[in-house]
Amino acid sequence: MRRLIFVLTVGLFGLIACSANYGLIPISPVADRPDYPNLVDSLQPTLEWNPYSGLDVTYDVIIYEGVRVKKPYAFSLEEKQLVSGKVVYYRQGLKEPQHTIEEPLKPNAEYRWEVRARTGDKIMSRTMACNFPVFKTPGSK
Amino acid sequence: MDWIRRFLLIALILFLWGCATNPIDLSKVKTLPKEEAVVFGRVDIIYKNEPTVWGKLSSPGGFYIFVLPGGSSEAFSHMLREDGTFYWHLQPGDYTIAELAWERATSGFWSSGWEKVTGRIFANFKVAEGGSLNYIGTLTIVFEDKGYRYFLRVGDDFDQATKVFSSKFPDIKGEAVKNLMQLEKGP
Repeated sequence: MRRLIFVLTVGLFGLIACSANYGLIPISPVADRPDYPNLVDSLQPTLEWNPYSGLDVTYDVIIYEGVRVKKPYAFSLEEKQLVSGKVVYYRQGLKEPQHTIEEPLKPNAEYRWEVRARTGDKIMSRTMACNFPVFKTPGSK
Repeated sequence: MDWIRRFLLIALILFLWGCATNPIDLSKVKTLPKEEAVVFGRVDIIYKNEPTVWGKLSSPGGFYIFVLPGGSSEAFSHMLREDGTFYWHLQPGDYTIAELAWERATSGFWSSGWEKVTGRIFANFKVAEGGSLNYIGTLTIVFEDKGYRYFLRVGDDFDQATKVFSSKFPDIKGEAVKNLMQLEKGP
C-alpha cells in the first residue's frame, strides 16, 4: 500500500510562461541570447528594468549564480544552457526601477537576475523565468 | 494538419529519447562505480490533476530536471521516464535539483507549435559515503493554470521505493538510508 507522508510543503509558486511580453521587462544588463551573457564593466553593475505601472510598488532584486547544463535536451543542438544556481544577492523594498549592486560579485562569473514588483506581501509581477537576463562579470584586475 | 505535426514531434522525441545519454543514470552502468553511491527517488508531475507518465505517445512532451553538484557550476540533465522514478550513481557530497524544463506541444486558435517552460526547484540533498543507497524522496510538482504555475512538495515513499529498487537492481545490496530533499526557502 502506498504510503505518502508529506514532510515538507512549500507554497512556492513559480510563473513560467515563456513570453517576453509579460512580466517585468529588464532593460540592462541583458543579452541577445539567454545562454550568451554580455560582459558588464563592473563587479557591481547597475540593474535596470521597466517600471511597473498602475500601482505604487516596491521592487525585489534577486541575482543567481549562473550554472551551465551540458547537453540539456535530448532533442536539441544546444550544447550548454545557462540556468540559475544559488541566490547570491537579494534586496527588497527598492523604490526605483534600477539598482546598483552593493557588494562586489565574483570576477569572471556568469549570473542571471530577476526583478519582482510587490505591494506588501503580494507579488504583482516578475521577470519570466525563461527570460531571466544574464551577464558576465569582468576578470579580476 | 495539426495532429500530423504533433505526431511527428512526439515520434521524434521518442526516437531521441532512446539516444539520450545521461552520465548519472545507474541503469546505464553494469556495476556501481567505485567510491560512488546510489541515489534514488521520484519526480511526480501532476498536470491537469493527473500524475503524468513520460515516454509514451500520449505524454505531454519531454520533462527535464537539472542536477547540480555542490560547489560546481556545471549541472547534469536528467530526462524523466515513465512515472519519474530515477536511479543515479553519484559521488558522496551535496547536490541540488536546480531547475525544471518542460518541452511540450502547444495548440491555440491562431497557431500551434512547441514551447519550453522553465522554473526553479532548488531541492537540496546529501549523498552519503561511497557504496551507500540514498533515498531522497518524491518531489511532486503540481502544475496549475494550464501548466504555467506550479508548486512543489517533498514526500516520503521509502518502503515502496526501496522495494522497487531491490527488484530492479538485485545485485546491489545494502541498507537504504533516507536523506530526503529539502526545498529552498527562497526569497
